[in-house]
Amino acid sequence: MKKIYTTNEYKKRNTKRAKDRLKQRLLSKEKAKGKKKKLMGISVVQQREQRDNNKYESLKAPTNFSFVENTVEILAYFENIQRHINRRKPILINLKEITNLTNDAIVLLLAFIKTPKITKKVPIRGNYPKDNVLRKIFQESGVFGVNGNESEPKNYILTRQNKKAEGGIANELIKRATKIVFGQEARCPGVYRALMESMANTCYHAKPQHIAHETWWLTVYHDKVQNKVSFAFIDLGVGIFKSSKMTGFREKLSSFFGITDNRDVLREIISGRKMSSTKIPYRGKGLPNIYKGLERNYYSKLKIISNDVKADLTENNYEKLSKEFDGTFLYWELNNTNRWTS
Amino acid sequence: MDKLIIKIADDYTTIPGVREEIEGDFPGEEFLEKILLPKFKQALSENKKLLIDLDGTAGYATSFLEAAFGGLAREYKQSKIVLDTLEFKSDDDPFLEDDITEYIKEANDK
Repeated sequence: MKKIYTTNEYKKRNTKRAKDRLKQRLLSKEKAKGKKKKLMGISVVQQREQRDNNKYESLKAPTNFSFVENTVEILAYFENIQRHINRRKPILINLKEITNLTNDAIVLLLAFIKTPKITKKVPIRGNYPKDNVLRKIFQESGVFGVNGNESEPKNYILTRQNKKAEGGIANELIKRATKIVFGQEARCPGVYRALMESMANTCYHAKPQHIAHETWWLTVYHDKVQNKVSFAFIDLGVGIFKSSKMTGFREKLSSFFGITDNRDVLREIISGRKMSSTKIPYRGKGLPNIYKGLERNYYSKLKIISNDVKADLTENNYEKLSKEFDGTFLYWELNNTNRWTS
Repeated sequence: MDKLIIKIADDYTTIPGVREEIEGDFPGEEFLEKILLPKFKQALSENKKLLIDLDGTAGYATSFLEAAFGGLAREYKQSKIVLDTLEFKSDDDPFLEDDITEYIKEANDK
C-alpha cells in the first residue's frame, strides 16, 4: 500500500468525502421520493404537460379577468406579458385561478396572442381556469387553438377576425344573436351599423397608406342566465386619439376650444357638437352614430376603451386610465328590450 | 307623377358595406356609381321622382349612406335637387330617412 493512503490527513479527508457523498445520495433519494409522491395519481400525459410548462414563465392572470370591469389591472397584465416577450422569454398565460371572465377579455387575449408583430415568435402557452364554467367558455373561444371546426355553431361564444368591413360576418352574427335573444332569426339595423362602423374604423391605420392593414377581432357571447348577447370588438391599431383621421380635428379642438384631455375629445366626437364648427373635413361619423344606436335603443350598455380613456356611454361616465391601451375596444349588449325587425 | 324605384336589397345587395371598395365589399361609392347615379339621371331627364326602398337589408353603415347620398349631392354640387327628386321608404329602420337627409344637406358644407 502506498504510504499516502495510510496518512492521517488522507484518512480524515477520505472519511469526510465519503460522509458527504452518503449525505448527498440520501438527499437525492429523498428528493426522488418526494418527486414521485408529488406525481402520484397524475397521468403520464399530465406529467409531460407539467414538465413542458415548467420551461415557460408562468404569468398569473388577474382573478377578475374582465377588460370592461378591471381595465387597468388587465392592461398591466398585458404590459407584463409584453415585457417578457421583449426579453424573448416563453410565457405561460396562467388562468387557473381566475374567478370572473367576460368575453371582452377573451377577445383582447385572442387579438394579443394571435398578432405576430406583438408576440414576435416567442412561444406562448396558456392553461384553462379551474372553474368548470369558465373553463368551458375558454375552451370554446379557441384562444389557445383548440376550438375545432370554425364553422361549427357554438353555444357560448363566437369569434371572427378580418381586416375589412364584412357585411356577411356582421349579418351572420346578428342572426345567431337574435335567435338567442328574441327566439327567431331577425335583423338589427342598429347592431349592423355599429359592427360595420367598427370594422371600417379599423381600416384606417395611423398612416393613410396602411388602409386595411390592421386586423379586427370580434367576440359574441351568449349569457344564458341573463338572456343577453354581448358584442366585444377590438383592434390593436393605434387607438382613436392617435389615428390619422384625428390629427387636424385634435389641433382645432385644442386651438379653438382649449380641449386637450382625451375624455373631452371623445365627448366632442360622440356629440358631434364641435365637429362642424371646426370645419374639418372629418368624415368619420362612425362613433357619433354608434352612440346614436344606444340612444335609439338598438343596443344597451355601450362602452368604449381607447388610449387613455374608458367611456361608459350608458352612464355618461368618462374615465382617464392610468395605463394606455393602444387600440380601440367597443362593447355593447343586445337584450330582449332592444329594437329589432323580423 | 310616375316614380322610378331602386330597392337596394334586390338591385344591389342585402349586406351593404361601408364607403370605399378598399374597406370591403358592396361600398357606398360603388352603389352611387353603378346604381344610384344612372337612375337619378334618368329620373331627372324624365322629370320623375326616384323612390329609394331601403328595406330588406341587414342594415346600413353611416359611411355607406354618406358616400352614396352625400356623394350624389356632391356630384350635383347642391342638396336641393337631390332632396326634391328622392323619396325614401324605410319601415325597417324609422331613423334612416332623417339620417340620409342630414347627409345630403351636409354634403356640400365641407
